[in-house]
Formats: sequence, C-alpha cells, structure tokens
Amino acid sequence: MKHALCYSIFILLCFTACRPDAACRSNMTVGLVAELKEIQYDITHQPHIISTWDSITVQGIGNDSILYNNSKNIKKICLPLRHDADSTAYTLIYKGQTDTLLIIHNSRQHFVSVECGCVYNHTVSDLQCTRHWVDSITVLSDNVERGGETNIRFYRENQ
Amino acid sequence: MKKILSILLLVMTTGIVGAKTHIPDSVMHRDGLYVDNMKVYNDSAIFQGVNLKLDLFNTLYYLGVSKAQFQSYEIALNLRLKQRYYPTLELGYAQGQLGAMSTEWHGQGGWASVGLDINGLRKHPESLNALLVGIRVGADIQEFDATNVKVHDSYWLQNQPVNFYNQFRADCWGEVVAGCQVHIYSGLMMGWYLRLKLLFTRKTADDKPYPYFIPGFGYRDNTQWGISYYIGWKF
Repeated sequence: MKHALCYSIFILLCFTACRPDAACRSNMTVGLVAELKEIQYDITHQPHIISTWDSITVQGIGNDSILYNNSKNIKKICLPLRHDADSTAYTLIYKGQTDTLLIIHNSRQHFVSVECGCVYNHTVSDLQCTRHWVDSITVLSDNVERGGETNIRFYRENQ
Repeated sequence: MKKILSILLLVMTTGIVGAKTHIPDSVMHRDGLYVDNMKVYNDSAIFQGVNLKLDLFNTLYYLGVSKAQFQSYEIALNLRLKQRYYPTLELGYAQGQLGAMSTEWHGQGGWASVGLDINGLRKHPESLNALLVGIRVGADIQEFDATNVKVHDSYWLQNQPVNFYNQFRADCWGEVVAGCQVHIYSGLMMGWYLRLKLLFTRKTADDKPYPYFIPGFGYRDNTQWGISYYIGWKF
C-alpha cells in the first residue's frame, strides 16, 4: 500500500498544473465593421448585388495613417473608433468619389486578460454620412466589440 | 499471518455486529473491548474522529516553481463518520504577483471549500486508511491590483496604459476529488488528492478586470487540475 502510494505521488508530481504562458493570442482588434451592398445593372438591366469593395481607400480624419489604401476585393472594412472622444470621422473614397462618415459613440473599457490587456468597446448612438457614392446606410448592430458582428451596411446603386 | 488476522478480525466484527444486541452498551467502545475472549467494536458509532491536515504540495509547488511569486497555504479538517463518510472543510490563503506583457498583477485572498468524501475501502474498525472520492464546492474572495495594463489601439495609437487598483473579486467553483489517506504512525496520517476543478463564475462586468489567479482554484481558466498532498493528525 505504501509503495503504491509513493509511486502514485511520483506520477502525480509529473503532471503538475502548468502556468499559462504570458502571451496574448486573442484578436484584439475592435472596430466598426462595415459591409457594402452595391446594385449593378447589366446590359439587359438585370440587377446584380455586389458585396465586395472594388477599390476602397479609408483614412481617419485627424490621423495621418491610411487604414485601407485602394484595397480591392474586400468584403468588410473595420474602422477603429477613438476612445478619447465621443465621435470618430473617416473619409471613404470609393471609385473616385469621397464621402465622410461621422460616427457618434460611447466608449467603455474592457479588460481582456493580464496577457492581452485592455480594449475599448463602443456603442454607436448616431451615424452621419455625406451622399456622394453612398446612397444609404443601415445600422445592423450598435455594439462595437472585439471580434464582433457587422455593424453597418452601405448601399449604393450603380446605374 | 497479518492477512489472516485481518480476515479473522473482519469475520469476528461481522459476527459481533450481528450479535450486538447481546452486548450491553456500557461495555462497547470504538477501539474495541474483549468480551468472552472476542474483540468487539461499536461499529455503529457515527462520529469516529477528526483529521486535521496540512497541504504540503501546493505550498512547496508554488514556492518552488514560481520562485515564491505565488504562495499558497491550506489546512483541511475532515470528520470520520461511520468509517465511510468524510465531511470536509478546507481553508486556505494564497497570494501572488506576476508581470506579463507589461502588466503587473498582484493579488491575495482566502478561500474555503466544503464537501464530502466517501471511503471506497472495506470498513474495518482498526483501519484508518481510506480510498476517497468526493466533491467540493469552493469560494474565494480576493483583492488584487492590475497595473500598467496595455490598451490596444493600433490605428489611433491611444495606448496610454490603465491601472486597476483595489479590485475585489469573489469566485466560486466545484471540484471532483479522488485520493487516499493512509495511517503512518500513532496519529500521523498522510494522503493525496487529485482534483478536477470547474469554475462557475466565468464572467465579469465589462469594465472590471479578471483576476489572473484564483486562490484555491489556481490560474484562471474554465477548468483546472490540482493536486494536494497532505500530512495530518487524527484526533
């Protein structure tokens, strides 16, 4: 009995619980996710719905860095929101036309883990957009969270 | 010879249990008495003693592996009821500190768990050995600081770290345990448990940080394995 106990303890010591490593493997990107529904008509005037951005350039107003630079074949774009202000503005250039999107939002801190740190989640309270290439916008979800769902959808009718 | 004696003792005990209506209660004793050259036990006594145990494994493990960054101390008290049931109370204290990805975490707290073990060994009045399986419900309360926590913002570059001071947190978990205890000498006992722990409190308020370490549970995860190695004394 005592020998068996000693062996058991030795084996158990070999299976000690390991401390998780201090690396963050989570997706920490938080941004307003937008998609496009563009109606195009063929030569027979039959409508086709296109859901990919053919060429999109996105830049935050007040930021020198371009987020998407003439990017093609993109299904969704992710627009990070500021957490030091209650609004964030972007210029969206699509097929040579420029629109400005203003997002009014509330931000709240969200602790992910010791390894990964914090992100800010947001709740969209209002959207304003110029109408050059954008025909309309619908809000699908006002919660902007890490790995979240699509928040807004742009509609454009290409005659 | 020892086995033969044990078998004889068991047979005799069984016989006595069956015939104990003939023995006056005044001569019955848990440790056994000789009546007509036959050792008899009051096997029906409900309360048969207390074990007070000290967990050595987690104390030494955390001191050694984490280089004293984490410390954990635990004592356990279990009752012996009818040689079969072991209601158990475990009390502990743990503290720890850690630096990970620029975040400094420091926490300390205490925990308690209650549960019941069942002895799978055949009952024997003179044997204190036990093969145990059981369950526990545990809860802790801790205070912790998470400082210099990185904020992820790769586009707007608003990465000013944030601090969380004096965060109080209570967690609750359940355990399934299996192990044994053996009688070494006089009142000295030793034993171990293998524990599978399941955390019940997995969510927190949106702006509240999670603890990195939960006293009594371990590193925060949905499930956690644990080992306890006890020395103890029977009363």
